[in-house]
Amino acid sequence: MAALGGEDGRIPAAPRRRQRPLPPGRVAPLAHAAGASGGSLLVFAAAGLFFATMEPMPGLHTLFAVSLALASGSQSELQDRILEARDRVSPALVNVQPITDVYSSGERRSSTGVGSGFIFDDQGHVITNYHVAGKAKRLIITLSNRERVSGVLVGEDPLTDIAVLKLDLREGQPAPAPVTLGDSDALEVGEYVMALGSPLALQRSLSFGVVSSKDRFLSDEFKLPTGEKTGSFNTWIQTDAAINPGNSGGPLVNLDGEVVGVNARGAFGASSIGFAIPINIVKEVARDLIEKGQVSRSWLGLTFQPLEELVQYFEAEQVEGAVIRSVDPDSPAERAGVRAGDVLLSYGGERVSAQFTEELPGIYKRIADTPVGENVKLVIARGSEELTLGATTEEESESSSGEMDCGSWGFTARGITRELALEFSLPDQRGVFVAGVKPNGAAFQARLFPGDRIVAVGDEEVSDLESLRSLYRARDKSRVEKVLLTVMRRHSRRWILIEAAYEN
Amino acid sequence: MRTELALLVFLSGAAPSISFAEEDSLARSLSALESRYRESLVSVRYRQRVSRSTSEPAEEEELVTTGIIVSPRGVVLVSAIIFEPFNQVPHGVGIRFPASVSRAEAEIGSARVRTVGGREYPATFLGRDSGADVAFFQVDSEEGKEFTPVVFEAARHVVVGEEVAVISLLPEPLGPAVSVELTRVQAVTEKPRAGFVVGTGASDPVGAFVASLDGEVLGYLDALTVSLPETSSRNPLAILTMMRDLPKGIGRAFARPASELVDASVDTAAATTVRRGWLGVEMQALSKELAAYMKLPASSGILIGYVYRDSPAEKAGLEVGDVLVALDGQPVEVQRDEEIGSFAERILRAGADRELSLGYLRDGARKETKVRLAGAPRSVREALTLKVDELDLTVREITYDYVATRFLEPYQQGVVVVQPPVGVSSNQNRVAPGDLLVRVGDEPVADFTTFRELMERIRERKPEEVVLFVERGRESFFFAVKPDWN
Repeated sequence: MAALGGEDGRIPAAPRRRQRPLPPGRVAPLAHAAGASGGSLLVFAAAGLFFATMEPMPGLHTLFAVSLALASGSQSELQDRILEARDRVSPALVNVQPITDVYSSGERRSSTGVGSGFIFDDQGHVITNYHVAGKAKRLIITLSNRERVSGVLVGEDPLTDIAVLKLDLREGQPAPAPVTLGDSDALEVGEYVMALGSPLALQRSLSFGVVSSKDRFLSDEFKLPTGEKTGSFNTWIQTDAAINPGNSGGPLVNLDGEVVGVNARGAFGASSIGFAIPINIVKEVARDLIEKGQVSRSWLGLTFQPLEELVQYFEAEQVEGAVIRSVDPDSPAERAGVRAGDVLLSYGGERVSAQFTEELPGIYKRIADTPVGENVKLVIARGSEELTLGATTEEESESSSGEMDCGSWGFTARGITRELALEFSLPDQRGVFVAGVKPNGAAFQARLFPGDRIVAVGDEEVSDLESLRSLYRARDKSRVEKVLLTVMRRHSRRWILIEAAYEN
Repeated sequence: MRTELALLVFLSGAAPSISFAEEDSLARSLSALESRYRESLVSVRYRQRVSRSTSEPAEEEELVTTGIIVSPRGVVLVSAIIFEPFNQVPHGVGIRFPASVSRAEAEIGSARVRTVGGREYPATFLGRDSGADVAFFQVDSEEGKEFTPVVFEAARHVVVGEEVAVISLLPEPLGPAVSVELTRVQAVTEKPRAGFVVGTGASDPVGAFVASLDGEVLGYLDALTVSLPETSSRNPLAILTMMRDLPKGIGRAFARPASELVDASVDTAAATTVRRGWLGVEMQALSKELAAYMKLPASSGILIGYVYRDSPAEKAGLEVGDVLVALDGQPVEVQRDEEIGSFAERILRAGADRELSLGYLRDGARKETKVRLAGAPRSVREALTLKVDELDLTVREITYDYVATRFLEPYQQGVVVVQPPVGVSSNQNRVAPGDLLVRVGDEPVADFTTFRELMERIRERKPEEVVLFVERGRESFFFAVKPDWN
């Protein structure tokens, strides 16, 4: 239990504050919290229900209290440490309200959400989740003193689900003090942690628990609500400290008041299982986002499979190395001659091993961290042979595609990322993907379907979302009545004649 | 996280709206079905030598069954149930010989076919198609007599609850008369046989067929035959026939998908039976608006969206973007996708090896070509399948349409997973239906036959573990299965 004691191993005496009345600013008033939850039916309903059942009970300030049945003296000292840690983090805790474009049923709508975040440095940078703020048009950030400021998006990284924002402070207005960052590698399973944030839009809420696991691998089937793959480069901290919708982006804090993770997801159909991104990964990503606006990663086009499932096949003595499950066509790895079924023994001179799934993120991260354009030596076992191959890394392509609303044509379209092409077994990334068709709209009448791939507008080729955007804008502006789209429906070409519907 | 939850609520709140046909239009549809198919169902009286038990000598009896006219020249399809006029074991569970040992065939004698209109024709027994498990008679009709055939084609899948019509023959003495019964699909089955179950009040619906309300033939009502693995593995000759009486008197009947009968033919008399014609293109209707926008010198036709490799269309030089405007001199009057069916039917009925002339537009200019139709290759729905019980795995052969829709190279190797096995693997390395199985252990799977041979060899070796190598689009992975050798 490394973090339980102070420097001398004893639990430091902290002033007893439990009886102290809460300062007014700490109380989350009913109206404020409920008001913040507008825009989402479920959250509003859930919050309403919550308050309905809470109403007869006196003292809303329990919202900020930790309910622990504490009896013995050492436990009351634990209580003091919790309060102390809380006080170290609370000033830097923020509530993030993004105003986001949401594309559904073939239309773009504005939607507000609620997430959490924390002040990261003294320049007023805020860390939150990509899925909270990554696609926001506008950001309203509520500081711990309940002052509202707007924020701007500095950078985003769907692959780790991290976004960095910057407070738009008035001239001379000081940024609130940032949090202290901890070391997530030093965390231990069983160590006390607390999650701070705005679950269900209930601001400045705290929950308490332990680290349940620190090397949880969530397979890349897990996708963000906006469709991007995430979590390939890190294992997750699992905790039983309650993490609910709205906690996203908030800090996971140890008893010393240091931020050790960024709370990111709960689990449907489960309780007491929440997941946080380790702060050590967040530090690297945030640094890149602040300095360069993006995270640059290398790509080879390899995916791996843990040896554990296949020990017999690859002979029991072959416990080293990582089994290559697939090699992307036209990737650096393919050009280097790597084949599916090869076992990677070393990467750039360092030995590699993936017996268990949780070892996979380490390998992916090592590849990603290689400078782009570097020639890497790959030592590979193929049957009884051992080969040395050289592959030159390429920059990982964008995992997040834009989406646009072709309003007068009645559908929304999305760029085709490598990920999307893979998911729908498309032969290439050419064209744009019809994401939604507005019921009874123009495209609907013309029998355009979601999943169709637009390859031309009139005689003009549509190579990507940008080209569709400019073709659409030109025609929308001059109110062109009929537009012929050429689409691919699976393998077959179709011609869709749309009669544009303009609002007057 | 919040948006995710909100999205779920939104989705569950958006219930699909179902529109029901109005009563009068329903009556119109059913009546249209009756008039379309009233000449297509016939009663077939045939003489057959039947032995009531193994100890008694066979006696010739006259029996009757329902037949369906499947070609304009009077080929009649009947259920293979006629080879088991009476089940040898009570309660509808009997052991019979495998379909390939058709001992009863030679014992079917002369037959008479009677139409709803009251005309009677002598008919000859043609033979059976063991694969499709049906048999055929040929009407010895007068010269030039044209019948209205029922065309079985690879129909879409049905869904539970959808309204369909059972078109059956009322037995004599009431009939023969065609009965059209409005009913619904009650179940869609995968095991032991793929098909669906409809409710029906018909006393013996075997030999009837199921059509959608707009006339698409969806299935063939047949007795349900299943083979039980435990019996067949001990005695490969024995196939257990279950529920031969299933359709009788219990208000429901089992329908085989129409696609199963598409290629049904009699090997010995192939010339007299239908083998549906195939052009090998994906089609879209050319609407008047589209034609005007494209400034084409036609106001109807069919746009070609895809040309299958090695198809008659490819050999005739047709290309994506060509517009078919004439077939054998007759204009292609198709303006809506719903009307493509009539064109497709003309191709189907023309039959394999028939040469047709096609008029088409390319870049606005009118061109002509000759195309020799082929027999349709097996599509995904008719693909050969193999169930490997020990691996809990079912696969099917790679078909031309699978290759096209998955953007695979031609002559792709492997077999397609129909039912994935349960194995020890993490989530992302789990086999799913539609995946391509390309290697078993170190052995490449060239095709369906190779796979079957591989499985035979594996059965002899009985390994503790079998590692499959699977491709899904541009991804691939290994999958370890622990076979059950008991």
